[in-house]
Amino acid sequence: MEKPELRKRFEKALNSLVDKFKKDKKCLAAFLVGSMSHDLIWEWSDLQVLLVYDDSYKGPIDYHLFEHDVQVVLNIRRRSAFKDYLGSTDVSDYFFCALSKSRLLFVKDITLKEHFEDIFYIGDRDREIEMLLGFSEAIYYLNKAEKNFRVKRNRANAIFFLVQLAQGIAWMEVARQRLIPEREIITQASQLKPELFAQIYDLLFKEPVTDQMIDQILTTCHEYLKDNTLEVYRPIISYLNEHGTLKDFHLKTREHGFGINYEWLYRMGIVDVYVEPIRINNQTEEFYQIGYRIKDRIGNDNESIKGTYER
Amino acid sequence: MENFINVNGVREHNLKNISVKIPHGKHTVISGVSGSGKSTLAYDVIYAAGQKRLLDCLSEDVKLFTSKLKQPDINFIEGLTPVVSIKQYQPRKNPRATIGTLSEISTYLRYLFSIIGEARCPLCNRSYPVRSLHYLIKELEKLTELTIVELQFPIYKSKNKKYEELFAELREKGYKRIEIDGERKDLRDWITIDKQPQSMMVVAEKIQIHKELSRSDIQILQNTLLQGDGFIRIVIPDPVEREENAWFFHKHGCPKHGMVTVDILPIFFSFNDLHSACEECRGSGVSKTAYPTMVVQNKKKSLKQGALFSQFCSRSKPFEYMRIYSLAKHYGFSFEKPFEDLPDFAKNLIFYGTDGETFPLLRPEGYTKEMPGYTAKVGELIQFEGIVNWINRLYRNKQKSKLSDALKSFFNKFMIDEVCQTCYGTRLKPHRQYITIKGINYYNLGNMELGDLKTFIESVEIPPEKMDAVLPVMREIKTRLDSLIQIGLGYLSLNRRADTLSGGEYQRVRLAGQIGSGLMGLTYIIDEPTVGLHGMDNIKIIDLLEQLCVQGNTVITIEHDLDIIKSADYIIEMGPGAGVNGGEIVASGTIEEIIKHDKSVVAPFLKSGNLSLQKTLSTVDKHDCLKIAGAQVNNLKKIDVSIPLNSLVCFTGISGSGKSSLAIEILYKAFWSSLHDPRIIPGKHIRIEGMERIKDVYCIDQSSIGRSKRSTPATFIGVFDKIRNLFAECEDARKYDLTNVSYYSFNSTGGCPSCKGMGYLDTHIHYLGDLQTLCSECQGERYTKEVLEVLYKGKNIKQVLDMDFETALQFFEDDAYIRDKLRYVYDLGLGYMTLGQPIDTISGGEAQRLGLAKEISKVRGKSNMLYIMDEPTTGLHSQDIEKLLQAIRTLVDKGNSMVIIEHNPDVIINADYIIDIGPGAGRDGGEVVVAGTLQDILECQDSVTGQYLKRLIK
Repeated sequence: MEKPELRKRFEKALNSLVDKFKKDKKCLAAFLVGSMSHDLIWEWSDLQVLLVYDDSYKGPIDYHLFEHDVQVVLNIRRRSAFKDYLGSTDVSDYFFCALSKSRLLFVKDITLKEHFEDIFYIGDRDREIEMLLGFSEAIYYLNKAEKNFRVKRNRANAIFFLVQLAQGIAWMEVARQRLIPEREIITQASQLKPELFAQIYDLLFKEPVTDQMIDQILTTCHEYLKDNTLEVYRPIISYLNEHGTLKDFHLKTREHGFGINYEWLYRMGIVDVYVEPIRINNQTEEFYQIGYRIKDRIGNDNESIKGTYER
Repeated sequence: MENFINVNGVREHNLKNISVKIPHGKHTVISGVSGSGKSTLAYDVIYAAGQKRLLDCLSEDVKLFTSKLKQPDINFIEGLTPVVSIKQYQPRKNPRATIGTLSEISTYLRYLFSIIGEARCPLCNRSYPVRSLHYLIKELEKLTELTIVELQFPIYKSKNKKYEELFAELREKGYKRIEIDGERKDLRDWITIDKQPQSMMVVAEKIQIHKELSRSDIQILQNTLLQGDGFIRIVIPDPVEREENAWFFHKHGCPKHGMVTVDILPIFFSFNDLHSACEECRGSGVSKTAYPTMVVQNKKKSLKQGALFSQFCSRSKPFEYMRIYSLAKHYGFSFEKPFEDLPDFAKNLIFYGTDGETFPLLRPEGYTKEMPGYTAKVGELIQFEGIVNWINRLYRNKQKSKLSDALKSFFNKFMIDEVCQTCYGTRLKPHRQYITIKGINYYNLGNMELGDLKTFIESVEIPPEKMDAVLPVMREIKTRLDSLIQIGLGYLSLNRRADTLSGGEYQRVRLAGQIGSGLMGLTYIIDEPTVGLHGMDNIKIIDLLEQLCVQGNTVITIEHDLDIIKSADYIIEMGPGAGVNGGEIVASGTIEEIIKHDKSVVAPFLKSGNLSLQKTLSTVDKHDCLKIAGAQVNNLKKIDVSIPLNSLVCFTGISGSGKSSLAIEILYKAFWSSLHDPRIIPGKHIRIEGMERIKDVYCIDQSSIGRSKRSTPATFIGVFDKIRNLFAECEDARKYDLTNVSYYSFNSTGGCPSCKGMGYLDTHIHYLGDLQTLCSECQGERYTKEVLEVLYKGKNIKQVLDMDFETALQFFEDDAYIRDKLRYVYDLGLGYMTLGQPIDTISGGEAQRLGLAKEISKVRGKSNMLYIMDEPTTGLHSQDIEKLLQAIRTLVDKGNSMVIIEHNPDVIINADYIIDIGPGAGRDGGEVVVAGTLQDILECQDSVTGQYLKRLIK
């Protein structure tokens, strides 16, 4: 339970800070970030404030202040750097997610406000890609959990990977609803799909873990992923329908993380795997590169052949 | 300083301790028969001395490399000014060198565009003035305070980029929205493009107007301008604010669309600047694309027999073979019929694939070769993307990394250079087309013939406030244009690629560039400036050379043309013969003095100017001929031409009239394509009748024998192998155990290991080109000491290579094979040339005659051949032309046909049939003015050639 006097002290400190920064002509906007903006606070909490300054600002970008008995972490960004950051980041960035829950304390530049409000929109494309990435993460941990459980018989590791698996599924569910993922993402997703997470996550903490329970969770996850395959893989299947193979398929995702898992489509019987000879680093030795081609195309309408052979 | 270049005691090559004085500020012609020592005096003595002295002025670091430069063998040279050599050679294959860049007119034109260019709205083509960023900021600050302004910039997609890739790039740059044909889309959503959009505007940022724009706002403006290449769209979203500030757009940009253009820099029009060049072709104007007929190896064969190249269908490649077989079976076309008989739809399938449609993989009956495990199984449904699509895809993918040599050769084999489909040959980003002068953009201006360009430039109205900036630029452009037009190149355009020019045209462009540069006090050495020029145009060259002299330069030309010799202030005649029989100054002085000189070889020609007929005038059989119908390449105006067979036919006409287009682009390429390589695409024409009469075609042009430093005339005509054999079999060889022929090749075991058989080392110094320094190991001997100890008839292999053809003819008189081959070269007036002269140092004319000699040596028993030659008289003295004509006549008499492109009156009057193309150059040419015998040409009043010849023939 949060202590009311504590919040009062924090509010007082915050107001005092805001008053001071408002007087600074070069300070264009202030955001309250962290627990104080959206969560409960306690004795060890601090005030986290983000300030956006005009581009002429040349000072340090971090300050640790003390205001009315409250420790304050001050982060300063120049306007163009802040805009660049907002333009280049995505939902996988912790600070971006923290900003999405921040409170705007004041803003002197209306274009900055508009820009900030717009940045948290998740479009159809972003939604589908985030779902794909969450799904791919879930498959990775599903494989790990299954192997540890069924092959290595290592229950502890299996449970560890089950938690990660739930996290991947949670990411997918949050993305499905076009929400910005929170740090406690399973809690966030549980509110969206309580029955699912009751079966795949809550069980692990409510009852003694048995082999039967792990087996059941694995089966549920597997079924869940299978049921969602066509929806989540829609952009890829649509491409496969048009082009047959994924030879020239490029879907730009973020550079870090799991990437997209195509092997699942093979496991689900949607694509065939074939290999093509390649040479690495122009060496004479041949290697074989895996490729995927669709098994049964949907909507093949036998279009006429394009092009002519003569000019 | 005395008023002449004093060269004393020259013993270089065949020069016999001669001394000569060349007057400063005058035009001096060095004349004489081929091999008499003209080039040695001009290049190996005067130019080499000038170059060495220039390099001696450079820093000590550079002098380290120059100290070993070969000194010409002379007593002294005085009064030498910096020397510039303008030689004739085929320009290197480089799509980036154009008339514009060579003459530097493009540089000044770019300045002109940046100063007085006006912008056009990419959306409605309305013109408006270009502003500076500073001016724009000041004007923006005048807008109603607190107005929100949205900045957008136009974007274009290159042909081979997918929309998804373009959008991904924009997302990466942080942009969130784009307006496609006016409809705003969010880049975070899927965007589907059904048809090619007319316009795409990226929504960059918004700024709020204050009395003084902040540094951040200016930064945003600059960034947006950078992305839009100087074009931005300014949108005021609020209607009331828009109304209030409408004046801004009326004053500065397109009032309808809000486009504004800022700070156009000269470099924006340079296709060699990566930021300005078309993204797809990177400024070359061409892009590679697979060409269907190039993947067909032999259209007479069936698919089964190997109609396609083995990479695409071969019995040794089971999957590829079975795939084409299955394709044929599934779509019902023959696997066994000749490829040329297949229906169009079948060829389409092979070239462009099944568009994703699947078909079962079948095994041909009796074909047992197993497929590797990684490919499909028999019976499996497969797809086929088509060979052309596959090559194109492979090329695009491989472009992302460095291509291996094998891949480069693969792509070169099956792909052709096509006009870039993104920039359509303009070489620049699409934005640049919206900057114009009087409504014409930079590219279209570059396409104008130089004469028209000059008229256009003169008609440009200059705003008074820009007068100071524009006038010097205009002056430079006009001077250069005048030089080019005056020299007879008015039919060219700035965009014309330099590597498509003939050696003579290229030389004249460089010459015009020198006039434009305005430098004075130089010594120019110019090699045959009249090559490729019609006799009627010689006066233009004479004027140009005079201008150089008037500017205060000394001009030395090596020339055989009588008009040029007559116009010179001073003449040095070398001779009397070639090689060892030359190397002396036969006569020197003014034209009057030379004419009076008894020993002068050129004097009788100068006196009379008569042309000599080598044959009696005869009629040709006009029915026995090749008939070209509808020739339409370059400037040819859909003309029909008949070329009599078994005759010497001469194509005449002024430079740029279309002679080469007809002879090389259509005639030669059509035969070569039909007889040898179907992948060669001839110039546009309807048909050629009578092709079946010709067994083979051979084109001897100025670049036909290669440009390798390691090739020599001896290797080219095929005698060097035999000479090496003679050395390997001689007694000395056995004595020193050097009986392997490879010891006598400087390219192989016998070559000096230090210089690898070159005799010199190449050192590259930036901005000065390659410098050749003598190899310290072999002292220029090219061979190892051991090999040089082997003597054949008292001479070592290097001494043999240093022999001229005349000496070699006597040296090898016992060996019939070598003797005969050498004689053909000697008979064509090349007796002065040494056996070991690097091929890359011989002139275009010499190269052609070597090629001709090689052909004549092979011709025994050959008939019905078609020979095409491009100005074979280049570098030939009037005396030697007789020898050339005799050689050509030998070929014709044996039942062959000869087509010669020529300006030389001696050759023209001796032709059996003359086809005069013209009447003018460029768009004023391209028609047959007259075709017939010499008499017909002389009688034609419209023929420039006819009138010129009439003047010469008494």
